[in-house]
Order: sequence, then C-alpha cells, then structure tokens
Amino acid sequence: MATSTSSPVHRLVDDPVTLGRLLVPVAIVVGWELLTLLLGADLLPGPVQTLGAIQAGVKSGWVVPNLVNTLLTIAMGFAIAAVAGFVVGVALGSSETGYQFFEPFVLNTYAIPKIVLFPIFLFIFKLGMDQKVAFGAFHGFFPMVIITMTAVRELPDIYLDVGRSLGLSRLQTARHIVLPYIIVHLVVALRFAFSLTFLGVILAELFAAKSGIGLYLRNAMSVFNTQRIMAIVTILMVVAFLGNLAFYAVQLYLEDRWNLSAEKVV
Amino acid sequence: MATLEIDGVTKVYNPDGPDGGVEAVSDVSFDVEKGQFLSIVGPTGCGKSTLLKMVAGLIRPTTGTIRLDGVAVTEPADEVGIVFQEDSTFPWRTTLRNVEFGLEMRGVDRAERRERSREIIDLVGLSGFEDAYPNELSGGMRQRVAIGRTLAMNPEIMLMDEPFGALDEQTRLILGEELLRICRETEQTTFFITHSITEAVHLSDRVLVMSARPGRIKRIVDVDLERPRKADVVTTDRFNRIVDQIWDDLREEAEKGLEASHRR
Repeated sequence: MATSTSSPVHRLVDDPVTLGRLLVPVAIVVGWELLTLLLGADLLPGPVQTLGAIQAGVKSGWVVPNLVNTLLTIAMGFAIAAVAGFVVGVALGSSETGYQFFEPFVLNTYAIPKIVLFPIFLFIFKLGMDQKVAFGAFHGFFPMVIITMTAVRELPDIYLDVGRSLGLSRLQTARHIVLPYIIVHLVVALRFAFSLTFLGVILAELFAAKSGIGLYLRNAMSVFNTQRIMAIVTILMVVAFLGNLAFYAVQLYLEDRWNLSAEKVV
Repeated sequence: MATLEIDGVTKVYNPDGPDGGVEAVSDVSFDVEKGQFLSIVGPTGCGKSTLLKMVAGLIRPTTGTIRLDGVAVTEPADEVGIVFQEDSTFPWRTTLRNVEFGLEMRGVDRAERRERSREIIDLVGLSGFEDAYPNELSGGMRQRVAIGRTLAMNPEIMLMDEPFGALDEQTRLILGEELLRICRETEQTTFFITHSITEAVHLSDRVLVMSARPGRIKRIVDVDLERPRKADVVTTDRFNRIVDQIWDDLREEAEKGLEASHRR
C-alpha cells in the first residue's frame, strides 16, 4: 500500500470505511450513556455500572462457569448443525428428486418460529444439556442446509462436464470441483449457522434450563436486577461479535486462497 | 486406419416420450484420419453438439457405433480431449493450475506436470500469465487456458465445440490461426464444431455440412488450400469459392431449421 509508511492514525483518516466501522461501536456506547442519563441509572445502568456488575459477577463466581457452560453448548450444537446441515445440503442439492421433494419442507420449517417446538424438545430430551444442544443445533441446521443446497445446485454443468471429460472419480469431482465452487458459500452458511445456534441455545436457557448464562438472565429479569441484566446482555453481545469476527476472518482468508473476491456473496 | 470412425450413428432424445422422442442425429457415418482437422457446420439445432458429446463418450448413441482406434467408445476416454464453448476455466485456479488440472487428477507428480504445463502455456501463447486467475484474463485468453488444459493431456483427438463462438471476430481469426499452428506442431487430430463457414474453411482439411434436424450429412467438402494457412487466406478467390459452395448448401437447411424452430 502506498500509505504504509505513514502512522496508523493517518491511515485511518485516509480510509473512511475502517474509520466509520470503528466509530459505530463508539457511537453506540455514547448513545447508551446518553440513554442512561435520560432514563436514570436505576432503569438502564450505563456502561460504567455495567462493567462494574460484570466484575462483581466474575468475583462472586457465577459468570465464568455459566458462560463456559453456554459456550460449550453452543459449540456442540454448532458442530452438529454444521456437519448434519452440510451432509443434507449436499445430498439435496445434488439430487433433483430430493430437492423437489424436500425444498418446500425445509424452507417452510425454516420460516416457522422454532420456539413453538420447544415443548417437544423438552419432552424428548428432558431438562438439561442435551435439550439445549439439540435445540441450538435445530436452529443452526436450517441455514446450513439451505445455503449449501443452493450453492451445490448453482454449480454450472460445464464444470461437471470438464470433470467427466477428464475422467474424474466422484470423490475427485467432489473434492476438486464442487468443494472449491461452494466453499465461499459454506463460510457464509457456517456464520449463519453459528448465530442461529447461539439464538437457539439462549432461547432454551431462557425458557427452561438448569445451567447457563441465559438462565441467569431470566432470573435477573424476574427480580428486575437491571445491572445484572445489562451485564449479561453485554457479555452475550461481545461473544456474538467475536464469533462473527472469527468467521469473517476465515471468509477473508478463503476468498484470498480461492480467488473468490471476484464473485463475492453476502 | 482411421483414428475415429463414426458408423451409422443415430441419437433419439427421450425415445419413450409420447411423440416417440426427438431425433437429433440421423444415420451419420464418416471417418477422421490421424492428424486431420475436420469441421462440422450446420444450422442451429442440427445435432452438432449431440454428435460431439457422443464422440466424447458423454452420451450414448441410440443406434450405431463410434470407434476410436478400433475400440467402441462407451464412456469418456483418456484419448479424447474436449474444449467447450462456454468458459470452462476454474475461477479458483491460476492459469498454471488450470492447465495442470487434468494431469494432477491423473496423479502425475508435481515436477513433471509443472514442466509439461509450462511447455503447453508457452504453446498456447500465455507465457507470463502463469499466475493470473481467469477473472484477470480476457475471454480469448481464458479459451487459450481451456485449450491448454486439454492439450496437456496429450489427447489422441481433440474435440472442440464452437470454442471461439463467444469471442469477437478479430479474436476468433487470431485464435484460429494460433490453433492451426498448435495443431501443426503437435500433429493433433481435431474435430471442430462451428456455425461459421469461414472459420470452418479457414481451419479444416475437410468440412462436413449437416442438414437441419434431424441432422444428416448433406455433403463432405475437401478443403485443398495449401498449408500453413494464414488468416489472410480468407481473402483469396479459391477460399471464397469453397465458402460460397458450402453456403449454398447451408442456406436451404438454415431456412428449414428456422421454420422448424418457429413452428415449435
């Protein structure tokens, strides 16, 4: 870059996009503080009180174990959603009959608010970790299936013709033609799967759970402990932000590795 | 013996359909000799591409046989290379990695396939663009990459389905001239499909003129213009006499083809 010799501050000013992106969270914190001044710190604790509440929570010992519990649940649910969604997505995307049969079902199930099925999950898996994992995975499964399925279907026939004319095996076709073609969509699918698994797990914890940060959020809400509510909300927002950032970094890396910036998606 | 023998080949699509299916190619027979450049011209929908796909082993003839070096073709053979009309380069691979793709899939070791690919890249005139991705190349250059990928496999016969069809007239002429040079240097047997009579006469030893659907061979024209041919051969009288002769044959067929497509 031509400006690489100038200071980071200079580069920021030269690059309004990065500057703007950094300014958005700053603006949010400022807005939050203003809103606190308007509503009063009892109703809406400000950034400083919230940080204090988080610190107090860590010290008294409920934040870390419950956060770890929730993150572990999300990780397991996400792994299941990603693998199952990928396999089903590839299967439905590469079979015309399968696609015609199941596409309406998948899209319609995706559209219903999945929380209405929560009691069924509770019956099947009982209260506890299994139920939370299953409910999270159920949420994450759908974007994974839908995006993978669509990407596989969009694979131009010409690439498959090239593969056949060169005598590729099915495995070689999958590994060297289908995968590189759908890989950028897969990263997007994983990002959506992650955020929806996250949603599913938190919802499960809010409704009925024995552990997890969501359970503490519900308890705080029932006694109107506003400082604790804001502390948990802030923690969850940071987790979501970091998770999304990680996927974005992977996406940038893959776009570079596979020269996909030319046909960017989402 | 001919390298490629097409013997009484007919293709009917959807033969179990309500109207008995669509006959795309009807009782076609011809031979292609080793090192020969043979073109097929014909009106739109005359079954040119169907014929090529059968030779490639991508689809099977309904009746008749296609033999390559005396062996019936039933599936894509290693000896057959195909260059498609659409852009078939992989956007996630550089020129070099596109050209070496087939060799890589066949398990040729890295050093050997790199060496071979560099020779081919030189042959198709892409030296200096080894590390460029397809989206950084023009349409004509991408088609050179596709030709290189096919040539790298050292096929017995190269099938080309309107490979320059999507390119502008000048690029087409230049690439045609390049193709002639490549075929001369590699003594490549080539089976070429085009809807441009000029292009067919410019490049070929023989031109097969096909009729409107169902495609039959209407005439086989030997092009006795001396080689090597430059692009300016297209201005000579002899060239134009051959073109006119084929055009007279085709005009009638093209009108039939148009009528048929209007009726549909």
